[in-house]
This record gives sequence, structure tokens and C-alpha cells, in this order.
Amino acid sequence: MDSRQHDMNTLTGWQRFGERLQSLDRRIIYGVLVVVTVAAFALKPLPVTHVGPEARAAFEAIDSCPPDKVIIFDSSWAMWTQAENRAQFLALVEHMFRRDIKFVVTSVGLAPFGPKMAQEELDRLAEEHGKKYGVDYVNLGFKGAGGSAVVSAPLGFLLDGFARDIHATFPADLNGTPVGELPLMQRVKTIRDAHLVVSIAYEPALEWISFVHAQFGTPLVFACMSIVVPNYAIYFESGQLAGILGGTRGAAEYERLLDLKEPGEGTELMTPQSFVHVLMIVFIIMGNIGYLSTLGRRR
Amino acid sequence: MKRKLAIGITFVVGLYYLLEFVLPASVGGGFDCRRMGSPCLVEADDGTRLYYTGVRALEGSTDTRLAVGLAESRDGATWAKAGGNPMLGRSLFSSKDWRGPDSPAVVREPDGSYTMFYVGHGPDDVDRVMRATSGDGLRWRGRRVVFSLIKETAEAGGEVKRAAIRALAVRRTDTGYIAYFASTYRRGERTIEGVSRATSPDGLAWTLDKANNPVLAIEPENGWEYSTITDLSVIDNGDGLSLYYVGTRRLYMRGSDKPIDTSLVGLATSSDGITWHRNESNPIFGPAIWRVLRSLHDDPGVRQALERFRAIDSSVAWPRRIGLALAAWSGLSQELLDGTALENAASRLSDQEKSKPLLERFDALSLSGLSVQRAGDGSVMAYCGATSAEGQDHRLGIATSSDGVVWRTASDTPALERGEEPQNTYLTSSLTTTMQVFLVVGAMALGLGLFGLVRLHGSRIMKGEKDSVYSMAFFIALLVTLVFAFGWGQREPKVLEPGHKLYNIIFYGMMESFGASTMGLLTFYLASASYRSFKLKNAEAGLMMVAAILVMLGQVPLGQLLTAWLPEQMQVQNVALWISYTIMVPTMRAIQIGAAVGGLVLAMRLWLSMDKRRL
Repeated sequence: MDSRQHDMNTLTGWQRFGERLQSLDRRIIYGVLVVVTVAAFALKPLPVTHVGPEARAAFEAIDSCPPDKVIIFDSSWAMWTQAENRAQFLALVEHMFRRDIKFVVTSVGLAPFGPKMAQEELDRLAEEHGKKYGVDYVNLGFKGAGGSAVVSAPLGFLLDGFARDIHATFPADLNGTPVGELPLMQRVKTIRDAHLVVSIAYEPALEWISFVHAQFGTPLVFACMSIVVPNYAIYFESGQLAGILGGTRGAAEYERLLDLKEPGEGTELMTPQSFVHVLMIVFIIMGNIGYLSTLGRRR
Repeated sequence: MKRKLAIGITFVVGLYYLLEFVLPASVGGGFDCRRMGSPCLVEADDGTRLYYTGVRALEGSTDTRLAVGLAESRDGATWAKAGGNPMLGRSLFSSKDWRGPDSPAVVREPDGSYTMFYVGHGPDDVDRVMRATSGDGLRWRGRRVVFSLIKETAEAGGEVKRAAIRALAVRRTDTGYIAYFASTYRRGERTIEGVSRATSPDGLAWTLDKANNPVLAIEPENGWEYSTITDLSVIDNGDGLSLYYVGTRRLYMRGSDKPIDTSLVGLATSSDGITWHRNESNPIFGPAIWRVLRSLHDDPGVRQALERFRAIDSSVAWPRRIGLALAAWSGLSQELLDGTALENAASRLSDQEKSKPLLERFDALSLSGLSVQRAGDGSVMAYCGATSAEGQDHRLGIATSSDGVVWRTASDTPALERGEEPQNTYLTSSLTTTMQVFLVVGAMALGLGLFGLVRLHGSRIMKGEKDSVYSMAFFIALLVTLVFAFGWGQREPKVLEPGHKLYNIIFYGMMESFGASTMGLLTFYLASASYRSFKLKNAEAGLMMVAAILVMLGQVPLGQLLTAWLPEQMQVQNVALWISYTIMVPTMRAIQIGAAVGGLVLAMRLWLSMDKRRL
């Protein structure tokens, strides 16, 4: 008889139940998680009733883009962040195409695949809205920063150069076309031609704040994963960020502001996320019931 | 010896990098070394005073500083800068005019003291009208905000930062003050560009004339005042009020990415200060090239040049006069100015107009601010002119008029020169080079890391260690990735296309997919970890658990639906918001400031070689 079995035999029924609640096999947790997530996709999407101040501010900042300005769209998301970033990207592009806001897609920094991921979606959305590449939007591709040991300085350096001379930083677009030949880029030379910068990434670079916003006053909107929103909330509160889209929730709130006919990807993803959050709370409560029931014995 | 050399190099490079940030980009020079603008003429006991905005900035620098300077004249013709300039600079303690005071409007009080109203540009990009007072017009104190367009713009649903106050003119009356200001703001769906009006009994509490604003909206059909009004001056003309304003049209010329502001002066009159009528002769004044071309506009040669200009850009029906000026700026200048037709017509120019080559005059191509004052039987105007079309080198000149409509410049040279250029310290400008050095060092560090990995795994294979199969996998992955990323993986030429496909498989098919899988797995670990770690072991843990549950519920629609029956402030999404912005944000800020201070200390230790483990 091992020591664990011996311990279980000395417990009361209630304490034994509590001990089991505390030591659920992780495979059970994983299994329930999979079942709840898959089942939730089959349900009708829950309505998003509340829009937070960060998403509303982001919407208003983008919506106020004047006709003579463009939006710089730093698409630094990748396949491993698309669960949250993709929905944000789709909602933002829908807004800009709908409002006829011109935009320039780039990836300045650390996400080489961002512009390519963006282009696949842009091709489809542009066709839906009747928009033309080079006139309504362009995709300049990726420009990398330096080695990881000194990432901060070269990224800031790169963003500084990008803000001062976009054509020098990106001489050609994603397809290799010289930027001077793209009609839209003929009036977009520096960051001063932009109304705003939107950066979509797992964790948008803070260098956008220190090297671009601080120097040129260009407003910034960050679309990031939910888990890193606390890092950026301080900048939103101080006014250095014009808005934040935090994870799928941010995308869903943005879709609500867009008043889409059909639920968007963000809204659809919020239903399984809702149930998973509640499931995790249930697990936490179960663990604590177990913990409390065995508390007397531990003392 | 090597260690001492490393310590020395680290110290010198670190010190230079630090000085690049800490020390100024320039030293010495005048507060108005870059340009002068927004003049304001004021009658003083011993002559006339001219307050103006001085702009200081190094060539190519974004660090622009504004300050108000003073010049004095006894006869209205000869001007000298006062000692002690600038009279009002930027305040380190007032964030509202952090970029410095701009567009001064100085009025003389009945007791002989002076009140200055000016536009303050804050770091938040919002323009505010501010006020300072002085007994002698030299030492100013008590600066404070008196009004802005923030409330009005926000009420109209506009973006506050886009509510600009460009220039200001203030009149002192028996009952208080009347301010006229050139502004842009939003009213409902409309953007209002023009001159607005506000009144105040004491100069502190101001009331915007919302019913009548803008009292003078821009008339885009005039062409020359298509974009905005950039400066203005209001005087009493005996029968009412005269408003002189600078109408501006922003242009983007072929082959140039810099906008050009084409500015001309217009005149409007009013009996009540609310309803204004534009003068039929508008525009009445402009830069030297405009004045010359206007005097020649009936000449057939000039007409022909204009037609050629129109043929180049037929989509824009420019008014003739500004079109002629534009012809000069758009590359036809030499042809137009040096052509035979112009030579013949130039003989009709007055002696004054012929006295100096046109393009060398201080106000040749651009005009910005102005201030008008009654003087004897006529009027005198102080204005800012520049030799370049981009208007980066404005200096102050004087013009006179007997009727307030036809103006003549007093001289081809400026009445006031800009201050001396500052000395470049070359520290800030060498920052780019330093960054490039760091980039090279970073690349070297990457190479060293690769070298280390190759040596480590190579020795494992050579020794035939147990896990050397993983080291072989490392070499295979390294070689394949290098070959397909640098050489064979390129799209062009065609022969390399199969390699490019393999490159895509490596990066998009494998690397990205592995990343996505890792993120997916994290979700499961997160669920399991939260179940095991969130335990009510003590009060702090309980507090954290409750906060986490509330924030988790507040993030999702289901949580919001579950508490929809509660009062709004008690609903979970609002509780989560309260937790985020009242508890989390200050905490995060404290942590980040603490981490930054820690990082600074670590950097200092490294720089001073106190942390010897790295060496």
C-alpha cells in the first residue's frame, strides 16, 4: 500500500471528495475543455452588448481620418497569433474599405509573415468592396530590425527612418513594384501624410510610441492579444495610444460598432471563449472547494 | 590588458551614446534663428513696439521651440530688437504651452500696462489661448489658459486635436476685450475654417460667439483662400473695423513632396465686427513675385505664359493672378521671368520694383503673418516674407498704405533679420551613425552565437556523444534553412522557383504551424494551471482570485448577460473596467517604472564595468 493510498484511507468521506476535487487528472480538464470549445461553436453567437472605451476610442480615431490622409497599417501578426489578430484585422479592414479610407500595409519590425498573411485576406475583401490595389491600399511588405541582442535600438532606428521617409525604407512593395509607380504612394511620403498608425501584433512594439508618436505626434492604435492588454492600458490612459483592440473581445466590440449584418469572426469566437472562461471559473471553484474541505486536516 | 581595453571601450562608447541624448543638438544662436512670424504692432509711449514669434530649430531637426520676441522703433522705419529677448519663452512648469508661445496679440491697458494673449501649443497637440500680463511690456508673468475650442469641438462630436487656433487678434474696448481668431473646428458634420469671435469683460472669462461664428468663413471659390486663414489683424478704420487676413492655399507641386503654402492678403470691413464684407480688390497684397506679376498681368507675353501653365494642368482653373505666381513656382519661373516678353514688360516696372533681382528679395516667394496699425494719415503693415516657396526662412518687413487697400513695401530688405544660427554640436545628428554601429555589433553578436552553436554541436558529434543525433538535426536544419533563405529560395530567376516553394514550406508550413500549435497547447496548460494554482491560501490570494474571476467574466458576453439584471455600475463588465483602470493600471505603471529604474541601474553597472561577470 503506497503512502497516498494510506492517506486516502484515513480521510473522512467529505475530505476524500475534496481531495479528489483537487487532484483531477489533467487529461479530464483537457477533454472537457475540448468538448466545451467544440460544442460552443455549434451554438448561435452570443450578442456583444457592451463596447469598452478602448475599442470605441480606436473606432473613432480611425473613423475621423480625413480624405487627404491615409492610415499606416503595421500588420505584424502571424499564424500563431491569428486566433485573435485575424479577427481584429478583418474588422479594421472592413471599416476602412467601407469608409473609403486609404491605407498602407507594412510590417516594420519582427513579423516577416505579417504582410503575406494580410495580403491573402486583403485580396478577398478588396474584391468584395470593389477596391483597387495601388489606389485604395498598398502592401509594402516586411522590413526587419536588427539582431535580437540589440533589437530595441535598431527597431527604433528603423521606425524613425520609416517615419521620415517611407519610400527610402520601402523602395518597392510586396510584389516588387517600385513604390513611386503606385498612385497612392505618390502622396504618401512621410508619417506626416498619415492620419494614424494601427499596429496589429501579438505585442505591438513600444517603439511606435517613443520613436513615432513622441516625435511626430501621429496617433496610434494597437491591436494586440488579450494577455498583453495590461501592458498597453497605461499608455491608453495617458493618451499616448488613441485606442486598443484587446484580443478577440476587442475585435467583437469593433464589429458591433461596425454594425455588421452577419456576426463577424470576432463575435463568433466570443461564444466559445465565453464558455471556456466560465469553465475555467468552474474548475477554479472546484479546486477551492476541495482545498477548503481538506483545510482542517492540513492544519 | 584585454579586460582593461574592453572596460575602456565600453565606457567611451556608453558615454558618447549618453551625451548624444543628454546634451542639446545645438548651442548659442538666436531664439528666432529659423524664422519669424505672427507680428503684432503696439503703440508705446516712446514709439512703436513689434512683438513677434521667433522659431528656433536646427536644420532638419524636429525639436522646434517657439518664443515671443520684441523689436522697437521710434519712426516706424528703423527697427531694432530689444535687449533681453525673448520676452516670453516656453515654460517648464506650464504644460499647456510646452512648445512655446505663438501668435502674440498684445493690447495696451488704460493704465499703461500690457496684456498679451497668445496661442499655446501643448504636448497633447491641443491649441489653447493663454494670457500673460506685464507692467512694462518686457517682463511677463501670470500665464494661464483663458479659452480653447475643446468643449465646443467635443460637443459637436469632433476630434479635439483637430480644433486648431492658428492666429489671434485682440481689441481692447471700453467694455472689455474682443478676440478674433483664425481657427478650424467641427460643427456637426461640417468643418469650419475661418475667423471666429469671442468676447470677455476681463480677459479671463471668455464667451465664444457661437451664434455668429465663424464671422468670416473661407471662400474656397476665391482660389487663393482655398485652404485656410493663417493670420489676421483687426484695426479701427474710422468708419468701422478693417480685418486684414492671410488666405492660404496648400499645394503639392509636381516633382516635390513638400507642400507649398501660397498666401495672399485679403481685406474685409465691418461696422459691427460680426458681419464682414470682403473688399472687391482682394487680394490686396502678397509676396514680391505676386506683386510684380500682378503689375504685368495685361502683358501679352505673360498671358501666353499663363496659358501654357494652364495647358500643363488644365484640371485646375486657377484664378489668373495666383496662376501667374504658380507658374513661377512650377518650373516656368526662369522662362517667365527671363523671357523676352517679360523683359519688355519689365520696363514698365517702378524703380522700386526694379531695384533688386526679384528672387533675391526677402519676401520673394512666400508671405505669412501680418499686423496692421493706423499711423498718421495712413496705415503701416508689418509682415513676414520668405525667399523660399516652402516658407522656411521668414523675416519681418514693413509696408505702408494711404488708403489701407493699395500697399507699397518700404524696402526690398527686411526690417528685422533673423537671429544668428546656432552651433551644431553634432551629437544628436550623429545618433544615426551610432545606431548603425550598434546594428553592426548586433550582427556580429548573432554571428558569434552561431559560431558557438556550431562549435558545441560539432564537438558532440565528433565525440560521438549519446544525443549527438540532435546535434546532427541542428546542422541539417541550419544548412537547409540557410540555403533556401539566402540562395536557392529566391523567386527570381525562374530556375530557383522549386527552391522558393521549399522555402515557403519551411517557413509557412512548418515554422508558423509549429508556432500556432504551441499557442494552442498553452491554452490547455493555462486551464490546468489556473485550476491548480488559484487557491484560497490567504486573504491576498483570495483577493487576486476574486479579481481574476470578475475580469474573466467581464471580458465575455456570457458574463455580461449573467449580470445584465444588476444596476449598470454593478454589471460585471463595468466592475472589470474599474478593476483594470483603478487598480491594474497604477500597479502596472509602478511595476514598469520600477523595472525601468532597475534597467537603468543595470545599464549603469554595465557601463561602468561594475558588473564584472559579463567581462
